[in-house]
Amino acid sequence: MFFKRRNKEKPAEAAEAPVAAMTETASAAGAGGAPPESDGISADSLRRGVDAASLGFKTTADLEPEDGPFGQDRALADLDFGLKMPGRDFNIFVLGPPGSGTRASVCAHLEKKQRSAETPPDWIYVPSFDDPHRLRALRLPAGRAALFSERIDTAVAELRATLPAAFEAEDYRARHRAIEEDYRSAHDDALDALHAKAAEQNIAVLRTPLGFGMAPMHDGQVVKPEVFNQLPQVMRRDVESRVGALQSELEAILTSAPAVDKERRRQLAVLNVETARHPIEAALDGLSQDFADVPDATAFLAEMERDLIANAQAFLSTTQDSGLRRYAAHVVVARANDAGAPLVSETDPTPLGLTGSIGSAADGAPAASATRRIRAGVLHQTNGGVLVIDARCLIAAPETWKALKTALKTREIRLFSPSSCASAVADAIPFDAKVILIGTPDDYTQLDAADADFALLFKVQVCFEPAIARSAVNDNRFARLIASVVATHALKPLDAGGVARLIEEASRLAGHRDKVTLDVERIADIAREVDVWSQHSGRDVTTAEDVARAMTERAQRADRVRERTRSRQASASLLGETAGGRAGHIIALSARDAGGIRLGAVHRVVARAHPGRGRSAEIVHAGATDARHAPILRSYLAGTFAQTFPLALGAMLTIDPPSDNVAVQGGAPLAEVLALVSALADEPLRQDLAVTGTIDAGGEVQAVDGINEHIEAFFDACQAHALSGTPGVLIPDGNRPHLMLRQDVVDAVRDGRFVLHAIKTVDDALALMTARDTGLRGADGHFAPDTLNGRAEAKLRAFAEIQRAFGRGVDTVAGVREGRT
Amino acid sequence: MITHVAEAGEQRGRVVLWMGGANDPQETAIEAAFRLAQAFQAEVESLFVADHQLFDLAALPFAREIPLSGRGSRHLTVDGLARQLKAHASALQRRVLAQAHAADVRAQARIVRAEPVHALAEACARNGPWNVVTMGMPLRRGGGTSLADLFATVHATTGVVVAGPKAWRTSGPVIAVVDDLERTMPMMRAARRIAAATESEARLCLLDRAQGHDGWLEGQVRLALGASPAVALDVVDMGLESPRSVAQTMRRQGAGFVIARFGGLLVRDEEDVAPLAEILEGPLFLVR
Repeated sequence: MFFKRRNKEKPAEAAEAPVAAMTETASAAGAGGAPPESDGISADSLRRGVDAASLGFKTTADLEPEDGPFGQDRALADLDFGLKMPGRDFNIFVLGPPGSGTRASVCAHLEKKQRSAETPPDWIYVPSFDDPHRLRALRLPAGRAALFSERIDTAVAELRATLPAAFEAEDYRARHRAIEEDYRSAHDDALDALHAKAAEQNIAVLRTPLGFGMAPMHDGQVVKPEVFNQLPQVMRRDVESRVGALQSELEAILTSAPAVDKERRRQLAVLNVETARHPIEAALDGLSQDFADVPDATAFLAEMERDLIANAQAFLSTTQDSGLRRYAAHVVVARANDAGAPLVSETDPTPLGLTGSIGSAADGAPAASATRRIRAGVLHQTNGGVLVIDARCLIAAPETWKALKTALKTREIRLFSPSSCASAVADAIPFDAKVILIGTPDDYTQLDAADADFALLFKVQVCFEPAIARSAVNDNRFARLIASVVATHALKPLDAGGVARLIEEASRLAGHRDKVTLDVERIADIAREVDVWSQHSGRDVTTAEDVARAMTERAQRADRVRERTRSRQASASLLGETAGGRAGHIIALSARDAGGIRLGAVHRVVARAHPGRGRSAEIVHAGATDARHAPILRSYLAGTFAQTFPLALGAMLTIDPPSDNVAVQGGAPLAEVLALVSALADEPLRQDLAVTGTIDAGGEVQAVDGINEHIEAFFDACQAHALSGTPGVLIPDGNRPHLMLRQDVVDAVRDGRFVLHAIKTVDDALALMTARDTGLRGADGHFAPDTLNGRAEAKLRAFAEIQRAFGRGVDTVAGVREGRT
Repeated sequence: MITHVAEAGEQRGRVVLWMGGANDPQETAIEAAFRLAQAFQAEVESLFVADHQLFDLAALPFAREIPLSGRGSRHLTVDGLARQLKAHASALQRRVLAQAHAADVRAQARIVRAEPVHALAEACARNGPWNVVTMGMPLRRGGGTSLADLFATVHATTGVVVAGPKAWRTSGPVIAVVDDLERTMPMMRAARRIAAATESEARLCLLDRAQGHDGWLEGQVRLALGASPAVALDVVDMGLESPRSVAQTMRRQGAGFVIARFGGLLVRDEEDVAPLAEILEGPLFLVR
């Protein structure tokens, strides 16, 4: 233990001399702004343990696993309300931290409900016989789409055999021939008679490319023109007269042909219908009976029967397979009839994946030929149920949001088509589902800002609690939750001690000693890691020792960032001069999330002050990209000190190592103001105490996130650097409930090797860091000159005088330039 | 020797596809020409004969053409007729040559203006002794085509293939109609070659006025066939049946090709041809 070792190396009196001297000085300062009690927070307040014996079981095998999320009663009630609300606009946005298991909790809650809900109908696409360029959406009772499609295919396959057989049967051919003969008799007989009549008159009837011609003949041959022209005129006129008469008769016969042919075709059509009807009825009869209870299906089958009869010829050709494909019914959604309402959790939604797609009908082929290229989308699968999506997926892909919005607004799903000309071939399918988005409040704000329709479509917000209060009941339920994790992941059971240790860890994750986190996924991750170390130890039951080992290994494994930080700290000698005090120097703490673990970090803050050039403080931060609190610093300084003169302050604040990560949760603001006042008053600050906390403009210290990691980071740094004395940390008083420190830190505090002070104001912190009276403002409006605040006030007044003396020579103030650089 | 066509390499004859004057083509007959060419590895000569009588008609002062619709008859001139025939012939020949290419049959096309039978006689004589003439237009009663004249005038032909206006198939059994025992083997060989090209079976139909000697006749035919593979054989007593009823039976059997002797018991003379062709669904191959 570093303090004991260090204390042994140095005489106790020498090691504690500077602090003792400071304390004495502070005591002499008297009342009003005097330092607070310096005993620090008691060890018992630093961690709230769990008594394994009080849990009331031996191992998790004795427990009934927790069924569904707990501690979210209000959120689940809100969720249920959103699900019950009809309408396209009452979709749900679940607010929960990312990766916290909110999605799993939502799904777990909905799963049972959905399973017991009514199964929504199946959907298939069938051809539209009215419009060959369109596919009709047909709704069928759940569990029957696949059968319907299969039976359609079977019927068409059957017709491929039976229809040709019917048309090749002797019965059909005889009737066909009879009709043809009738027609031929009516038409050809007339022509034959005309030929014979013409032949009797020695007139030949010849076929020309476009019709018929008539000429006199002799011995079966057409009379040569030169011979004909030599005939007497009377004979020529006679021939012309006969030809003319015969031509008129021929015209009459030919003119009547279309009507006769029309009648022939009509009779043949009737014959074809009669011939086709029987096998088609036979093929569809069973199907029609099986779906007699579905009016839409019955109507479709009736239309299909009519179309089949009208297009039976397509079955007679072996080259028209593509034509027969038009009868295929493409299943879009098929469910078991007892499947319940669907619950789809989509992790990677895309526009195409949501709406589904249809291939274009190539080369002007009918739309039905595209049915084989239909891909159902997530919305089809979700229809009638619930779809769960991460909000961040929609933020990252606005096109996906657009596709989802369109479906929600129009309440229909339209298949995506790569070619616009084919987009109209498939009817839209009515869409009726609840969409649940899971995201953070920031996600909601982003989506809302990006599209005004968002808030109109997601009117129900459900807030999942990140943590739940600790109590005997909740500890037990948490144990059951761990039992369910054990069961889900087939882990070894945990004994009560292991569970107690996990509950304590859950408290740390919650960042509150009186709460446990509800981040089920993180708890499950830890439990799984613990199980590995339990196996490594060869135990049948996982114990608290395994949990502790897992946490240690976890921290070390993901500690590369911290290791790097440590090396930089070493190089910067952050903790090198802790024996005394230094004006303007202070140790600040922060934390950052890395690899799923929150890591604390130690920084040195150095402040330099000089006259400013303007009427307000000019504070320049070096090493901190986030300087949002600079106005607060200015406000605090002005409000505390500059009541009767302008704040002509220039200051440079340096943070080392830089806190350049946006994820840093820092406690630097308090440290900065302390360093700055120290620099103004030229009063050294203790270097064995680190500070964390933020402040408001009035000097009240505010709580920070990650307080445990802040403290532990400094504790580890002290251990690494064998820091002398009794180092400690000044924490915001508001962070007291959040203390859930590691056991080694608690032990160090109990042993007096480490101390924690809870502070409420900047003055409290100054008093502790300097062991001096900070001073109160007197009746004359000024601080006493020998107090810390009085010296700082005097320095600021001096700066103001300097600034006034320089008058307008703003640019000549060298300090300002230095501050800028 | 009968029912033979010279192979392409022999330069001794061809399948002469007679595309007649102004008539519409009979697709089944054209396909039959290619099947025959495939069966005998022969060459096809598509001969479009523009009947000279049409030009005699067009040269008459009162010549008129009555369209097929019967409406709007118009004056017919020699030049106009020549243009019509040329366009018609060119289109037909292009189509025939494309079909020949698709059937992998060597083919050539010619257009002549002459009396049809004489043009065929001349073409066959030029090709060699083993020609088969295929009528590329439907055979109709009263259509003006005299097969007797054709057989009498065109010496260098072993037979003529005709198809009725309703013929639609070349696939199906190839039935050789035998009414003379001596012709059994050559008829059967021809039937088998055609059947191989059409991927169907060859059958024999024996016609005789046997009057109760059916069994004896069948035995004689099977004796003549000798070691040939088993063949389906029907014996028909023509004392009880008519050519028409025999043709109807063959139609019911789905006959693809029917090979028969012109002047035999099935096709006795000119008058029998058109009615039989109209009954059959496939081409009728008439041999001498």
